[in-house]
Amino acid sequence: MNSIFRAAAVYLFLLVLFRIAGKRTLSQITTFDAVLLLIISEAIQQAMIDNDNSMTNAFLLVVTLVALDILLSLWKRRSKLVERVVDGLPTVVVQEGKVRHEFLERERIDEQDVLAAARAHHGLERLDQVKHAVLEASGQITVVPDENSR
Amino acid sequence: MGQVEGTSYAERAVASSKGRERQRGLEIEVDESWTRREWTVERVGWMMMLLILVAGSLGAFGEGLLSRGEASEYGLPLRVEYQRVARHGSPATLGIALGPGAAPGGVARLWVDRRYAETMEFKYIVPEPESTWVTRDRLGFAIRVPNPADSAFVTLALEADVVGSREVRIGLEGHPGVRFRQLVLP
Repeated sequence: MNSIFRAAAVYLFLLVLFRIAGKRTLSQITTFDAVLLLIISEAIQQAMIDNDNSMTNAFLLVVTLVALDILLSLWKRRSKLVERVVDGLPTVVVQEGKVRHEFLERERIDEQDVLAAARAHHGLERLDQVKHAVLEASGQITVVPDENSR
Repeated sequence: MGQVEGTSYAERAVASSKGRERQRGLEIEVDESWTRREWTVERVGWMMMLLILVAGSLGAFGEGLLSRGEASEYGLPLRVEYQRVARHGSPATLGIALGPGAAPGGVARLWVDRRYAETMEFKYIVPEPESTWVTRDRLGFAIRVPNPADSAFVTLALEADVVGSREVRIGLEGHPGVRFRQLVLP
C-alpha cells in the first residue's frame, strides 16, 4: 500500500477512535497518558512506514498527515456540520450554579474535575462559587466564577 | 439577547438546537440533542471496540482459535494446517502433515500454487528441501522423508506480501491438491 494511503488510513482511524473515546480521553495528560501516547505512536508507526525507513517515505508520511490536518481544518471552517462531527460541541456541566449530574456522568467527569479546573484557573474553593462550568470540545473544563458568592 | 424570565441561558441553549446562543458574559454553542446523539455514538463505539477485542482475541484477525484452519482431501496423504486470516508483513506459517505413502522413494514432491507463492515471501522450510522446481503454475519442493511408511511434518514459514483474499492450492505431484481460502489483512 502506498505511503500516502497508509498515512491517510492511520489519520482517519485515529480520528474516529479518539472521537469515539470521548472528549476527556487524553485531554488532561497525566504521566500515564503521556506514556500511553508514546506506546500508541510506537504501535502505529510500524504500520505506517511498512519497513520503508527512507527519508523520502518519512517526508511523504509527514506531509500527508499535515496536509490532511490542514484540509480538515479548512473543511471545518466551511461546514459547521463537519466541525461538529470532528470536534463535537461543548457541554455545559454546571449552569447557573447547578450541577448537571447526568452530563457529568455521561462525559465521564465528576465534581472533583470541575473543582480542580476552578481552583487551577480562578482559585475558587467551593462548587457554589462556580456559575458556569463547560466541558469544551477540546476536553478542557472551563469555569465562569459566580461573582456574588466570592 | 434578553433573558426570558424563569429560564437561564443554559436552559434555553440546551433546549435549542439552533446553535449559537448568547448571554451576558457567556457566548457558547451548545445543542443538547446533538450531544445526546454523540453519547449514543460513543457508547456504540465502545461496544464495537469490545466486540473487536473479543473477536481479535478469538483470532478473527489472525493468530487465534477462529483463524486456524485445516484442509485435506479424501484419499490424499496430505493435510494442511493454515491460517484462515493472516496479516500483511507478519508470519503466516503453513504446516503440512504428510501421511504414509506421500513420499514414494523417500522424497515427497510438494507443490504450491504459483499465484499464491508470488503473494508470499518464503522465509524458510523445515525440513530444508533437497531441490525446488517451477512450472507455469506451480512452485515445487522435493523433501526427503527418511521413513516413507511413517508420517512426516513440513513447516513452511511464510510472510504475506499482498493484501486480500485468495484461494490456495497445495498438493503432491501427481495429485490435484487441497484447496482453501486465506485472507490477508493490511
